[in-house]
Amino acid sequence: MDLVARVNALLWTWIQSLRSVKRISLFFPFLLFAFLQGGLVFVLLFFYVSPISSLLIPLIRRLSQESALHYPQFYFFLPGLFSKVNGWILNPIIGWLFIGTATLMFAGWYRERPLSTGRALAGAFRFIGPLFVVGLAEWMVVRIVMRLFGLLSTSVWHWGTQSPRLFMLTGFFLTIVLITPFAYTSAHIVLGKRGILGSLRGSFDLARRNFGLTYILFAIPSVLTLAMNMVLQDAPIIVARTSPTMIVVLLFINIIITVVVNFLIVGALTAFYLRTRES
Amino acid sequence: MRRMVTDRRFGWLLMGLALLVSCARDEGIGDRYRAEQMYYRASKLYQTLQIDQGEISSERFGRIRESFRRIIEEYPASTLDQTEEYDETVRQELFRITGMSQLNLADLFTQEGQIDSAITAYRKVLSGYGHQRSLSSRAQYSLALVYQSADRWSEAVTAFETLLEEYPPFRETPQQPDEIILNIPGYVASTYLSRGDSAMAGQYFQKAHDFLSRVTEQWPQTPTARMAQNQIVNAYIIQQRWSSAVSALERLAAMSEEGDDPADALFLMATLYSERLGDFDRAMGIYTDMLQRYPDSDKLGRAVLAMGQIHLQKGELQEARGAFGRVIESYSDDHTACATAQYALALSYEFEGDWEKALNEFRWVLDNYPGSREAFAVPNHIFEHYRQYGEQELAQTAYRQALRTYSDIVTKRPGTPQALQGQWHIAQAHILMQSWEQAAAALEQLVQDYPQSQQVLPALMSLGEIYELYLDRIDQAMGAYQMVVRLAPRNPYASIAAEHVDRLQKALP
Repeated sequence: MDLVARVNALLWTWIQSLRSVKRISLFFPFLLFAFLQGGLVFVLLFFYVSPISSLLIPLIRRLSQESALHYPQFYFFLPGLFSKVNGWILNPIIGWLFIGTATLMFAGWYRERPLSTGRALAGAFRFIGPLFVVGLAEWMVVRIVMRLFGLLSTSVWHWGTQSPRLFMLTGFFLTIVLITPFAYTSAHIVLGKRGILGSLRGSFDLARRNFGLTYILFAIPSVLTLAMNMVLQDAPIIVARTSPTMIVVLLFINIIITVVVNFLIVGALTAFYLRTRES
Repeated sequence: MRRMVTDRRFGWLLMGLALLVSCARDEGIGDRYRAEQMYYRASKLYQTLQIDQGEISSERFGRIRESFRRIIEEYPASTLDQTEEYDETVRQELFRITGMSQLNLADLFTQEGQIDSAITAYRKVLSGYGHQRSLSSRAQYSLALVYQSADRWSEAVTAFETLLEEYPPFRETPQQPDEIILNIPGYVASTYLSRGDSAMAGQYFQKAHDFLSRVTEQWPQTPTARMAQNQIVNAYIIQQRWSSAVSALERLAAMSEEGDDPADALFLMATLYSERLGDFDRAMGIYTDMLQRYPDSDKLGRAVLAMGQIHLQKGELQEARGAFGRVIESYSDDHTACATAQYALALSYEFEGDWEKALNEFRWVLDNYPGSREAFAVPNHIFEHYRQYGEQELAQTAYRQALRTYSDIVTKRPGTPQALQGQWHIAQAHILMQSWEQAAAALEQLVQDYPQSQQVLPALMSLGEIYELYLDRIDQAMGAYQMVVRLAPRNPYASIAAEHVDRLQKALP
């Protein structure tokens, strides 16, 4: 594809994705996942209540430090705790099921054969194995590379601690580079009905041929979540200037923003997958 | 799903989880978190009280007290002691939170003026949280102050003495002196003095000396010992026992070699020699020693200034000017010292009779050190000079110029310390000119605009004098003196003002 064609394709995928907004049911998979994330925030907020305190207190100690068990210091660490539990448990275990469900629903909408959430969920559940394995593979690649990046930045290049925001920004763009090859795996699995290796090959191939477009499809909406994460990095200042409750409000806003961001990304990727398959 | 629930293996898994949850304990962390949450919210409410400057309603006080009381009721000290499942660190933190809540409750009663309730609340801190040393020492100190504010001085003294007997003069270690405790002996003695009880004051100064000397012997070569020695010096200075103060300062200077800036003790010693004991040679020797041994001290500018002032007093004008010039050139960072040196330089020319040079130097003060105490003094000083030498026209011009200068400051910076100084000097200018009506008006304005300032008492005393001696308004004179007594009954001015009131009342027909 030449540059003009790529730009056209990019604009076309955005338009398809944005047009989908009027179909409220397409939000349901993301809202279901957001509900689980909200539940996670709620559970973390009451970590000190028996009997869950017995499990959560050691977990919080492990994931952060002793001072996180104090009020209001807990709220300084809450965004990080949520991010870790969400990133290590919710996303890798169950996130892919909802992406698969959403992919099926978007495909149904684009093909003018809309699918209910229940049927899409059941449809995605049939592919839970490949979805989980591929999702786990992507998760491991990102984790390992970002860990190496973190170690190199602080120990070798010595710039991570001096400019944390620059470090965060670089990490953000690097993460998108890493997940771009995996962008179409869900579509290949639930729509193309391919297995683990087939979906990986197909996704890598499609992403390679359209790397810039795919990268932009991820990057632009994700800037919203990056902005929120940068705000939440200043949790101690927010608590000092407003109140600890503000952190909870910002976390819930972040969850809603993530719903919108994921909606736009999955919608655009599914539209582009279908377009390339049909052409 | 039904199959899963009836599966035995699932049942074992659930039982295992339940056992794990029931066996694992949170060691009181949950209770501590809840207590911290309640304390944080109560403290936020308390802070709003301290920010608000207007009248605070009793309902508002009540709401804040209630928020602290809930913490104490939820986690009473007796229960904290007995709860076995608490980790020891958590237990102590809970004690600290509830103890602080009890202390804040007492402070609130004090602010509200409910003295008896405050006393009861402070006693509860002492009885329930005696092992929390920093908390209980603070409660003991606050209790003493409450007794003092309620004019129950003997009980206050007993409370202060308890503080000295039961608490060490440092926080955790002798490296962290407790300034409040070390200050108490001298404070009690000074208070007896200000109450006019010189016999008890003398007794307590001796007690202070004994206590503080024991501290320096028990914990030598520590910041606590140095602070105690410093308090001994202060006590001698309050009693105007200058030779004893100098001896104590010698000891302090020797103790300060390893710690704080030893030049501080030497500087004070030299000041006492020159200003109190009249021994200029000893003072000069100490200043010279300071310049050689402590070239990096921030006191050197003032040391050279003091040497210049000694030369000036002895009539050694060339040497004085040399010292003042050195202050201005070499210690330009010390603006206060430089302003004083510049002013003194001008005075040295005036003493010599060279008014033109003196005037030039005075103008230099105004141009280079505006806002300094000396800059405020210059316009009136120039006016006074012309007035004393009978140069009426120049005096009038200088008087008008002084008023313009001071009024300018008052108008451009209302409500500031500079405006207060300006207002005071306007009154002084009128006094020098013997314009008594204008002087009285200026002083009345000062009292009205700056009722909390330190200048109010001298202003009221001057007002009383002007009304009595120059304007023959005895009622207004008595009003001014009575206001002094009302505002600061324990101030030395108050006893003089009270005498004037007595005298004027007796003279009334």
